[in-house]
Amino acid sequence: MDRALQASRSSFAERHIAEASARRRRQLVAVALFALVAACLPLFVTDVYTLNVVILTLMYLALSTGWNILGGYCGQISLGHAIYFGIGAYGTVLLYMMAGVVPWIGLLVSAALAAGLALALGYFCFRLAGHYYTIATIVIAEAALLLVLNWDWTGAALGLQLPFGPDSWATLQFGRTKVPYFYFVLALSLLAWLTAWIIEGARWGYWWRAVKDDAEAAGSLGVNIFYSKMGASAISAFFTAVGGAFYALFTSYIDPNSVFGFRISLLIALPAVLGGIGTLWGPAIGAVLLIPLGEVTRSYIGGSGSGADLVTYGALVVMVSLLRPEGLVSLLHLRKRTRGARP
Amino acid sequence: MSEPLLQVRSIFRNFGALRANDDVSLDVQVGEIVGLIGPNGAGKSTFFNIIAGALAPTRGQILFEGRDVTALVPANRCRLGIARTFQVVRSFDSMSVIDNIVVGSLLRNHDARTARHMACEVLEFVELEARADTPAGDLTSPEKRRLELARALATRPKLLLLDEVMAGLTPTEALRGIALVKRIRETGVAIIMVEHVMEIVMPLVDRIVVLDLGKIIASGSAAEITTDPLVVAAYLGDSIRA
Repeated sequence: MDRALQASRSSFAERHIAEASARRRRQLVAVALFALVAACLPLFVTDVYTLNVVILTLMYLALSTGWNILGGYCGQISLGHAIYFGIGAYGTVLLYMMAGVVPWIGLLVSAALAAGLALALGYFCFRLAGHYYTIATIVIAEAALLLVLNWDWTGAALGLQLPFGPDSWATLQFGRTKVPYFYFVLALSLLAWLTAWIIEGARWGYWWRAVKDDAEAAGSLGVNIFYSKMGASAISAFFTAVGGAFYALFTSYIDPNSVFGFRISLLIALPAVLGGIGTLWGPAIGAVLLIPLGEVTRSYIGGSGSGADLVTYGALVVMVSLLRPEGLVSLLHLRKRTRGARP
Repeated sequence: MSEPLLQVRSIFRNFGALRANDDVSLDVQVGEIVGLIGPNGAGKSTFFNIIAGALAPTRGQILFEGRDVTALVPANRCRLGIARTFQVVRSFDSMSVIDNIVVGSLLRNHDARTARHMACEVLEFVELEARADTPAGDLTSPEKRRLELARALATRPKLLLLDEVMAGLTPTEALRGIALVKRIRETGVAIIMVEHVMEIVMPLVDRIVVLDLGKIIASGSAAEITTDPLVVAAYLGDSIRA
């Protein structure tokens, strides 16, 4: 093998690798520009309601990017990520209220817990393939919701109110202005994006995408299918829990339905599905379109009870799956892709 | 003679009442090319998948470099140096051609950049470099077969299992495929190739093994096989039915 390969060694490899690294560098530059523009937003957005929407959008952007690591790259569609979101939220708040653990530590501990739980659940669930896995994730998250609804030490159905304290970066509590939350969640989104970016260029990223496309073929190339899914699941759960912790600190009140509910699982998955599953920019594009639209329809057409936002999401998903099954991100590069070639 | 690279000892495999492999044994030497032929339903694919680890034998043992690999999953066999292609092409369609190969070359290179470099070289080896950035799903089917070969080669195998890689190719494409297998052979990789058509394997292989009804009915050089009455009967019978 070696002899023949060395004989064919040419400039092709060098050229190709130079192009590939240039492409990856351009992605970094693009995200740096976006971040810079985003960081200036609070200078112009002074309206509390609008800033609120911006913060939620960034939160779902981070969450969906985390979801995409498992659902998009590794192809394991989870519709039960609310369980990790809830653990992040409840874990951080409970640790703070019961043991006085500062939220910074609390959110890391709960995120590690969520990752651990993802591994434990994955140990059983990754024996299921395709839709069966998805169904299992829904069932498990619903079971968690019922548990928390009935546990007294978690406040049961009443939920938990974070005790008010002075504004401080140490406790991550800000009552007067929401701007610090904005920077926190912007940093979180960047971190999630950067993680996805690193994964795309690393061994795991290639292996996960191979597992998604054809697990048996991946296995025949030495890829450990089970460990791939476990790794993706743990990282994904970690980010979801950090998002949950942020949500709890941001709203300072949580109850089982608002953090463990199916609605959260959907809102975590939808931006990635809409924007382009398994792509670097898909979750971001999806979140930027979906979340403000949902918030606007909710506040102008009716309260959360009427479900106008859910109807909007549903309509969008139907439209995208019919017109652009690869997600909105495919509009960015309309070049050579021949659509008929795919099954 | 030194120890064989692969030793397959008395493989049995039943599917319900059907005995697809009935006491099949085979040794493959380092660098040897063995053609596995036989009429439809002879048990070639079963035997092939048992060596690759995709199917477990009902009874029997497989040694690779003297080590018992019978219980290993395909991924672990690949780590030891057994790579395969699939009868029905299985490319990673959402990934580019080069990324497909990187999946294979990452097995021996932890660093993605080195893996990519190696993948580029393999890509040139199979003459697909013009398609490097094309999504694998957009390749033609002969191109996909070459991609599959490249992917398997990128794992640096000592033994390459080729499952009907020439099937469905036009004569020109088949010639190109034969040239490619010859080049792989020059690199010292041992090959077991399953083919339905005898003419394709003949110029390529050191030895032909003929399976019929789950048993090896003949083994030898191309010249010996074509004059073997048992083989002729098995094939004629097949062509009359067809």
